Amino acid sequence: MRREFWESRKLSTGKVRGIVIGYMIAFLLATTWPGAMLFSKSEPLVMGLPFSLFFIAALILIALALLALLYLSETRSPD
Amino acid sequence: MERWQIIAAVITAYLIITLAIGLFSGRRASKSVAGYVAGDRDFGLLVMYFVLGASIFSAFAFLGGPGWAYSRGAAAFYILCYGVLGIVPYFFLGPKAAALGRKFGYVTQAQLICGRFPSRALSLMIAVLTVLAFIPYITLQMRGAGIVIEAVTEGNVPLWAGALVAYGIVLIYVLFSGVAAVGWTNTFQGLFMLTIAWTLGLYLPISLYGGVGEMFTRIMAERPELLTLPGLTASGEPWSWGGYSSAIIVSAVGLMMWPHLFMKAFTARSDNTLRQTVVLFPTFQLFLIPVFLIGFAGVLYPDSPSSADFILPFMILNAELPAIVVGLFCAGALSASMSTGDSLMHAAAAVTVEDGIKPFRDMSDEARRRLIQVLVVVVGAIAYGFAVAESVSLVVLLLTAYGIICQLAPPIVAAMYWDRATTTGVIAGFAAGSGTAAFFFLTGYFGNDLRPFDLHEGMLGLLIHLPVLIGVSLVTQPQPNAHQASFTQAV
Repeated sequence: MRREFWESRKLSTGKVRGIVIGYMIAFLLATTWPGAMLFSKSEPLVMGLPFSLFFIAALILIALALLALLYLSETRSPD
Repeated sequence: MERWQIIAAVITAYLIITLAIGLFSGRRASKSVAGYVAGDRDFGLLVMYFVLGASIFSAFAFLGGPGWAYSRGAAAFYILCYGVLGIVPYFFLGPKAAALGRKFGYVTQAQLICGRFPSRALSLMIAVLTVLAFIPYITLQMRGAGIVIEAVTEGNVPLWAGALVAYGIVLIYVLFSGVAAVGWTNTFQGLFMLTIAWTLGLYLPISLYGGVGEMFTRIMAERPELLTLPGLTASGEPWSWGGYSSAIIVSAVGLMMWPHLFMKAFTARSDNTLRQTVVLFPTFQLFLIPVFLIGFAGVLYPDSPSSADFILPFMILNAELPAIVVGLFCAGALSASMSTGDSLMHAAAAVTVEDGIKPFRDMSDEARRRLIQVLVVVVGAIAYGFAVAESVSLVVLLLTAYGIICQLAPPIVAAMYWDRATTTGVIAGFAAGSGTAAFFFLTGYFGNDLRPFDLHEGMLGLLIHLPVLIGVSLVTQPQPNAHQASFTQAV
């Protein structure tokens, strides 16, 4: 079901790899100098966590979703 | 029965269960080096997940993580950042290394590097540097176990005895069952410490402050500097962005290059198991958040422990919990230490034999497996010696260990992906990178910090390593096509 969904969206393996690599570069830029300075404030509290901590947690969650997508795309049967 | 005796009884029960699992898991493993070091290449997803998870949930994360959050605030967030960055390349590197392992019979990463770049000197250099990097790491795990036991038994079981008992047990199951024991005990310990991290991480802020949000609101009002990136240094000064950022980069590059982790590519049952492990790995990063909350809960607590590393047992003991619950929490902290320590001791011994000795002396499979077992004891004894002889410089050494370990990344990537890389280029790059890292570490250690922008010495090493590797490779004779293609074209 899920597999057919992604195939219908025509996300090629190469494209998914590109998205994941691009996201990882964005992750690196957003968590190190100078990108991290934009997100280094502690307010507002989101779900009880300071903004900087929540922001990192959100980045990790998105990474998790993208990695799952990468896995589906790398292991699906060749078209 | 006194309170500390109940706690000790719970910990003893936990240790016995761990030992039983460790001994039981080795029954089926073959008596070969491949069986002892690579688990006959038959680890499934559950075990692989917790083996990698244990690497994150080491004594460093379980005691050091809350300690950092407590004393250095947002600086601890760097630990969250590097895991995802570090694991993703393994999605591709892991299955490829596994394929080469099956093809050529590799069980260590130096064998892979030296398979492509044949050089006994390189193999020895890698073996010596990895073992040097391992010793402080193992020592820290042992001290962690000793610290927890000493703290919760109110000093009735001193650090040396606690570390001895916990690691005596680790030694027995590693000797008996090899990597199979590491895998299955890590699974048990992983489940255990996750439960504990979440319970305690949520319980403490709620019971002390009325909620996580309330806790941070108060910290923001009273200690705002703690919650602003990049946090503070150990001495309480604001940390530099250069130090924070390069710590993330070096740890990300080094993460999967630790031999005890990289070598697990050779233990996985299938490539898909490896890929699934990578996909699920970020969940362990999220599990670190409650561990940080434990540390933050201590910030405004009226009393303080003797050192920041004691904050976790300190908060547990002060939370007015029943003795059995305290015992379970401490068993969780012990799990964190032991599940990393067993893997480290096992890998250090395997690397010494397979990369440091085997290239120079012909030995039978049986003799090598025996020698690895002897060396597990030797490595354990050396680390134990350091662990009981109080020494502050070990934490500094561990940070430097990452500087050495991340120098393994360029040779690994070159071996598997770059057709034009040559043996001379790789040796020159590795020597230059490690030398640079060692130079900046030593000058800093002796009081004359020469590092630009407070950058981690491992990163400075990489900045020298890469151009030397590429430059020297390009001016030396290319490798024969058939040889390099059997590596770069594999899979």
